[in-house]
Amino acid sequence: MKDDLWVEKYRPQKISEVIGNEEAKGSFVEWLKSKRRRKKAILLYGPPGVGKTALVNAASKEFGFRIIEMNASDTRTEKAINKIAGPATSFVALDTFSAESKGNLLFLDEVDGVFGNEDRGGIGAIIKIIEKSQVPVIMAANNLELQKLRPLKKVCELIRFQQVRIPLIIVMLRRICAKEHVDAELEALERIAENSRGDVRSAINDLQSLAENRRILRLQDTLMLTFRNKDIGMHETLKGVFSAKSFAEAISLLNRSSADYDELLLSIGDNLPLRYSDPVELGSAYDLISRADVFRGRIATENWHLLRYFYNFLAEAVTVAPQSYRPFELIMPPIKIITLFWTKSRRITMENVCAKIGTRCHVSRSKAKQHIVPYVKAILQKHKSSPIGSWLKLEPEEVDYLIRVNKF
Amino acid sequence: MALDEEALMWVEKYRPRNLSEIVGLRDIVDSLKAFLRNPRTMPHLLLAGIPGTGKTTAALCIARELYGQNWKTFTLELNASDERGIDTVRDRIKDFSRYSRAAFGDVPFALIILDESDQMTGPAQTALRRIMETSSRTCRFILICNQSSKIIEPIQSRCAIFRFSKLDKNAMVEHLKNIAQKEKLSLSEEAAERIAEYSEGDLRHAINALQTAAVYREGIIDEKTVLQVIGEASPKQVQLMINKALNGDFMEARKMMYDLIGTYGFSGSEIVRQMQRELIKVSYLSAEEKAELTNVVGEYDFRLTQGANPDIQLSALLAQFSKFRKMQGESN
Amino acid sequence: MVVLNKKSFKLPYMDKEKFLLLLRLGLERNQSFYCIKSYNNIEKLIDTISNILNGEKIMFLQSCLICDKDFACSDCKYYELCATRDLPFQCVCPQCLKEKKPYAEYVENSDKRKAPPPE
Repeated sequence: MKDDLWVEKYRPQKISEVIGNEEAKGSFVEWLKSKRRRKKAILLYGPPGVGKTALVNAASKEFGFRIIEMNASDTRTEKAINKIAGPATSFVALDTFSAESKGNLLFLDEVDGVFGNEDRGGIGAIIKIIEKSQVPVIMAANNLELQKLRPLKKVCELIRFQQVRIPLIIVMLRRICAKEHVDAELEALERIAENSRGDVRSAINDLQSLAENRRILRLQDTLMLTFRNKDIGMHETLKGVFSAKSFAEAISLLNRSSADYDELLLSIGDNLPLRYSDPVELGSAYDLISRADVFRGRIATENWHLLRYFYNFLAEAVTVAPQSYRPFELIMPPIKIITLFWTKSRRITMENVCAKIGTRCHVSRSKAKQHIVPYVKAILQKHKSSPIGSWLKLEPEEVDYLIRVNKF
Repeated sequence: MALDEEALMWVEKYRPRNLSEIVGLRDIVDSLKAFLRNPRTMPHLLLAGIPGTGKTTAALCIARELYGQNWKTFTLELNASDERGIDTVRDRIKDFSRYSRAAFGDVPFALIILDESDQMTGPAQTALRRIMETSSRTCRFILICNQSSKIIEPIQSRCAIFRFSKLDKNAMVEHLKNIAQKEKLSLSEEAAERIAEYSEGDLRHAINALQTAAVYREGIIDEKTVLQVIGEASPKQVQLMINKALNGDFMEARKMMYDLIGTYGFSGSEIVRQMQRELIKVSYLSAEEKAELTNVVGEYDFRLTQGANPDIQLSALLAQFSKFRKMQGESN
Repeated sequence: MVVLNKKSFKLPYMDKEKFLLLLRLGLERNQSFYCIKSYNNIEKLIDTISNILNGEKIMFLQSCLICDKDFACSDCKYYELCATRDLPFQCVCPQCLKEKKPYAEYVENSDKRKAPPPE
């Protein structure tokens, strides 16, 4: 049954088949091949689904070394680790492996699961293993909390993986479509790629779930993607909390949820107006969400224990008036206006445009932005090559920018 | 920059170049002219009034009349909101006054036009007063502001104050017709009236709206086009947004908020500050109601700096407006 | 805006502190040229270089994995959505993507490129 999964079927067999992160791949291979390594351990880190594990597996096939793998699901105590890794890392055990394999490598996957548990030995245990090990150690992690990892840096090389870029994902999806005889519109593949946020694994999974029983995949078929969230936890969580009859019920749901709390904050915020039609209830709920957001802001710089208050405010926000609940259709995923539209470079371009208008029209930049830009924009939108653009000394990119930035 | 380069935005093209061309401010113009006859007697000036009533124009005209064609060499234009603080203002003034000392000719001073001076904090204005004093031998200041009450007394007492009032509707309509004629455009009476109403005495807005309408439909400006321009290009969103929120139409208000962020890239605090300004103008709220809402805005302004998501804070603020109005309605 | 070639580019004279910082962030010097050795801190590295170049925006051309030509990120239609835009990574150019160059070519080229990072 496992072969039915496209992520398995199309698993890279060679290093060159792993898409994206060329530079990281190169560094990793360099480390593998080097005769005299400076550090005998290496840590591959980055977002999920970008090829860390795939690369290690492909490399093992290509270079012919054996991987002794450990996953996050294993119990992580020093004893357990040593029990499994111990023999492999001792000199004697090497004899038990086949003559063909050039060697063994210890691969600790999802190693960030270990770091949190200081009481179970955590990072200390890993460092000991690295020190004792006779074979190279490869590790992979999703989250890199740099403070906790500082002790590791001395003994291990770090390689960062980034989100795989959209064109590369599209190339991969196209290949699979060709092999599976699926005729997919470019727009559909684009949408899957965009939605995956650089996670190749989930892009392939999404492709499979949409295309499996179809011969043709169109853009509209992919619109369902927004509801096929990686964390089904989000949809259930939202549905649950909004219909909760009491604060206690809501908070217990939140505590059990696997949904990412930032997404949760935004999603709940988006759905509040649908849940509360009465302005008084809506106002109260929003005030509570706003407080939750303030806590969220503080958590970023201070203390994770404040997370408790964050969840408290969320739970209160959704149970302002339990009796007024009527079922409604949820909005998902959250609408991130500012991050989506206003990048640093756009902000800088706008500042430059305002400065130019300000100089010509004898007003300040902020007045230009508030009072004059709307007219200039409207004029340029109707008449792109209006001489006003050059009179204001706007560069062609700046004119384009004013025209392109559309109403949401 | 070529001196006879034709200005393509009408607000600049038709900006009066000398005081005699300024229409409708007879008293002010006469007084200013008197000073200009003997520049040595000219004091620092404080020009106050709502936007778009001719303050900047008057200041620039003064500069032209004092210095002639090279007026830019002897004039420094500053905006309080563009500078990072009173220290940068001081540095720029110092550099400028040193540089321009060279050749004044008949006029014994250089001119510094400081716009948005009411946006400066109290301490900054105090520092400004000292700057005005130390450079008074070589510079004259023309301070421009919307509310003279926001200018500290020591500065007010050192300036001749001129109040610019809102242009009346007929004068504005005349003005617009004038421009339309020069630009060889057909402007209907209703269209001109619409623009005049919409601009609420702000001539800059009126002229910009006129020019935008002209682009929408080649050569003809009718009422329909004007309404289109007002709908699409009007920067009065914040006012509309507040009204929608107060009237309970939260979803519309929030959509407008997204527009403001998405289309113009206003930051959360910029929007909140504009809301603060527009709130004061809402006619159907009592003074107590405005005070209470102002406190709420202040609270959210603070939360914006602490929180992680401006869209949530702004949505929540709009929701408070709706809630407030509803509760007021219920208690009445 | 300054366009740099990630394989070798020059930088103006800088003080020892900055130089060491750049080395720590992953830059490597080869006689009079610099190249990028480690990509782990690429964003910070670019910011620092930008500072040295008086705040100029730094842009790297992308090299296409299929046709080997260089192109700018701004030519790509996914520019706004890309998490790593303008960073010196390899990619697939809009032309090759449009022409539906097959995955096989990508792999083939990858194989050719197996030698460790360049001169």
